[in-house]
Amino acid sequence: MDAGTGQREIDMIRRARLGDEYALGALVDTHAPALIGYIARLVNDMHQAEDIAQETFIRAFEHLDKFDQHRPFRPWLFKIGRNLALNYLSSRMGKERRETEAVGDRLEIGTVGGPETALESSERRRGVEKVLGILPAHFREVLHLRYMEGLEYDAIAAALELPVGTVKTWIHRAKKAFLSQAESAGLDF
Amino acid sequence: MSGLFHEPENMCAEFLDRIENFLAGTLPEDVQIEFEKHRIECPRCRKAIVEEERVRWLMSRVPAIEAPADFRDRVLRAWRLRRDMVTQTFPVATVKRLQILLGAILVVLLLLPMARESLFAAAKNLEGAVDRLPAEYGKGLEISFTLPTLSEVGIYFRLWQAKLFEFMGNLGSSLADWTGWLWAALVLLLVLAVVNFRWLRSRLPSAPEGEWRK
Repeated sequence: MDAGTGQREIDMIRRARLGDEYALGALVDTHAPALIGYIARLVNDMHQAEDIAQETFIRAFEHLDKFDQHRPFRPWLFKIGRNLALNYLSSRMGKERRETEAVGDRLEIGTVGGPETALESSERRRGVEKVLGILPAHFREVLHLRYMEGLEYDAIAAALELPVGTVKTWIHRAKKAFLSQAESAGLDF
Repeated sequence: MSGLFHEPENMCAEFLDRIENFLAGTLPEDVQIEFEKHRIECPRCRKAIVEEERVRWLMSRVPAIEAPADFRDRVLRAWRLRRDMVTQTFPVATVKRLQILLGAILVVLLLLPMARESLFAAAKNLEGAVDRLPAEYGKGLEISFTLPTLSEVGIYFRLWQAKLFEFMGNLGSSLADWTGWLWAALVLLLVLAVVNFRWLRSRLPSAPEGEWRK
């Protein structure tokens, strides 16, 4: 985030604290795709991810006065979303069998791609989604933060409130598991 | 170049730590050159690079997710609803306490008509007991400015108790015709309490963080 974007966001948050709906809407527009993507990766369910993301924004708006303006907004938002997603996951556990089936189909809803992905075989994309869905939630999470959000190790550690060493280990294991599953699924790369 | 890389195992650890920056070519030039040399020499780090590139390639196939077109409106609508609900109603804890208090009062009012005969009898009994006391007790109560003795306090207490029982008995008699309405109010209150509880449950996070990392 460059200085200009940072200042713009601070102004937006200041106005949002006063209940300015234009500013609140702008915050939603800026962060919704990333937040929904992150939560969808965690819970493996697009519709549920949208609901949790909506609740995340509402909680964030209700507690904007507690947000430290000197820090970036997105990790704070992700932290709220993560807690809600984990609550959802723990309540879902036990109710559901394994979540490996039809994961690709569930996450396909509402996805978009650039010209390159449009040409990509949808079969392969579905395969990658499916392989990701097989991984444990925390592996999916760190892979998403690392490769989709482009966060450094220390930023991931801060977002997940974990030691950097643990994050490195998780990412390492997640990569191994991801590649091994991809190989078993016959994904050529 | 830092002395950190003099030990081969340190070099590997450093390389693996910064592998993404190395692939992106964003490291300082001298580090980049050093890493380049290390890659040629170290099969373990070469393997790590291949893995990293594969993961990147696969992750780049994962399509980006877009928020639904009406998502902003949905969030703002839900936020307005929540805000208005919070500002227009009592805090939830206060509502719960009020419900409990109201319920307790209703139960007492319901019991009064049934207990009125017993209350009158108890009041009469207490007054009778005071009347039967020797006359000198009464004198002390009327003219003495000294502190009352324990027995005198007992008389005061019994008289007040008798008055209270009589009052409650009278109230019970007045309420005898309204028992049906009181029951209806109590049932309504119970229904409201259940609805309120469900509403609370739906608003609160369902469960603490579980053992999701198994």
